[in-house]
Amino acid sequence: MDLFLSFLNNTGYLMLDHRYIFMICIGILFVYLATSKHYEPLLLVPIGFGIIVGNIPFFQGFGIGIYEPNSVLHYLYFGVTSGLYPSIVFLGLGAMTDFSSLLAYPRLMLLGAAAQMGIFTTLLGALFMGFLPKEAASIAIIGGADGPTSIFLTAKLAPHLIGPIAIAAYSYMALIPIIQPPIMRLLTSKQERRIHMPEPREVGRKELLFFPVVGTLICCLLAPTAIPLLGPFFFGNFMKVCGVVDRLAGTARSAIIDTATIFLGFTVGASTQADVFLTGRSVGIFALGAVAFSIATASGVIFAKLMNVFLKQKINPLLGAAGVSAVPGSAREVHVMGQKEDPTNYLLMTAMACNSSGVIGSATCAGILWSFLL
Amino acid sequence: MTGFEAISYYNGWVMAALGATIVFSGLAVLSTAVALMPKLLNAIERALAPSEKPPVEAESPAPEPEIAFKVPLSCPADIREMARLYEPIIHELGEPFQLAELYKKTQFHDLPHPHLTISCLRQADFLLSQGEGMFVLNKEKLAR
Repeated sequence: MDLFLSFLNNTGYLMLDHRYIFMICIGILFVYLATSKHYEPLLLVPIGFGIIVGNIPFFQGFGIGIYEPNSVLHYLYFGVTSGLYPSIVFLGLGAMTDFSSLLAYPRLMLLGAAAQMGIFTTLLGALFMGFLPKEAASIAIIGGADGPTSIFLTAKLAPHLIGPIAIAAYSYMALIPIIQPPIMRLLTSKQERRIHMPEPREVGRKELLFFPVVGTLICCLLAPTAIPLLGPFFFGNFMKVCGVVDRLAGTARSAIIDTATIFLGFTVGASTQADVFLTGRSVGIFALGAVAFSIATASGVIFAKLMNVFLKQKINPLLGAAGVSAVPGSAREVHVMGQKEDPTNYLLMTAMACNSSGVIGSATCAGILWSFLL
Repeated sequence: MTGFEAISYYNGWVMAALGATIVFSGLAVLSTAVALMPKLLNAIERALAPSEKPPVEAESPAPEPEIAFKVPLSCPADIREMARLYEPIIHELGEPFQLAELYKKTQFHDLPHPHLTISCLRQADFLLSQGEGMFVLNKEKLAR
């Protein structure tokens, strides 16, 4: 009987309190949104299940929890804290990305830069709220709408905030269909939303081959701290376009990125243990993340309108919203909104050009912020 | 420390302004490089052309079979005319074929806007799906 009672005392049921129950509910909500509503299932399923697993209470000191040295979860979490998983994800992303639309419309790359203004505005907001500079930079990068980049920079600058920042970044990426459309509609007129983009020119194979090399040289020389992200990204893309290592490119864009995404999502989810996650600071991070994402969307749209003042061939300002690097969610949203106004308006390919430049822009921003705060 | 005092104390204004400027200039340089790339590549190709041509000619064992049509300078507006233009290429590929193969062939022959044209041909039912990613040319419709 004593043995049975002592076993009962060791079960998670007796250690559960309202904080853990709340976090488990959040995990279940994520899994529900992913499976029923199809909101970014590739991200929300591993994160949501990770939240559920990470919030099962246990006795400290037995090497079970993600923050306990020598635990299995801790070893898996090393990929997050060291920035390993984000680099691998970028390798796969590069091997998936088709830059031909970006090469056909190089001026749209500026929209990818404009949408990064959310990052720098939020940096000021976070400092204003009393966060330390390294924490503020980690929170600000949520405005890039790029989960792996946010995790990478936070792991380098403020590892204690990885949980809330990663969850905020991925949540806002999943909530693109809710956050972006009202901002786009507010800042554009019906006529502007109906602007058609010209058909892209044919991009030659040599251009596709040279771009990753030129991109690596220009971006990585500008911000060498972005090498862990942009290096693998452009390398992955080179493997894709060079045509002589199709097997490697295929593995990078399937098995490798999938493995990294599973472990990244699951361990980030498991890192949200209620006792370290549910704090006032997390609420502040979520609020600032929403501001960052909204400003990023708005600044992209406003900059596109500004470009139209000088351009003969007007661009559809909705494309500015795709300057954030949430691939391909924001491009899809831009396309859907364009089609709502005019069903013959196909913006997807051009929006993908802005999206790809947003990936380069946010990774460069992460490198710049890291080098400022080294 | 909070408020504007914190922003000034931690050089927030400078970090934000400088960071934004660097990102903008970095992507502007990349965008300019991308815009200039076709011209640069053409110039390099022209410069290298005389020295490269003879060995290529000497080594080429069997030239690609010529196709009995002339590539137009722009797309015909009539989709049927476009389908007729694609017929010899499809004949060369053999039926059924994959759209990716057709796309490669049309690129090889420098046909303008192959992606868009193939898409239009599909919508107009000139290319019929046979399932499992294979297609055939709708000869009946073409003969009409």
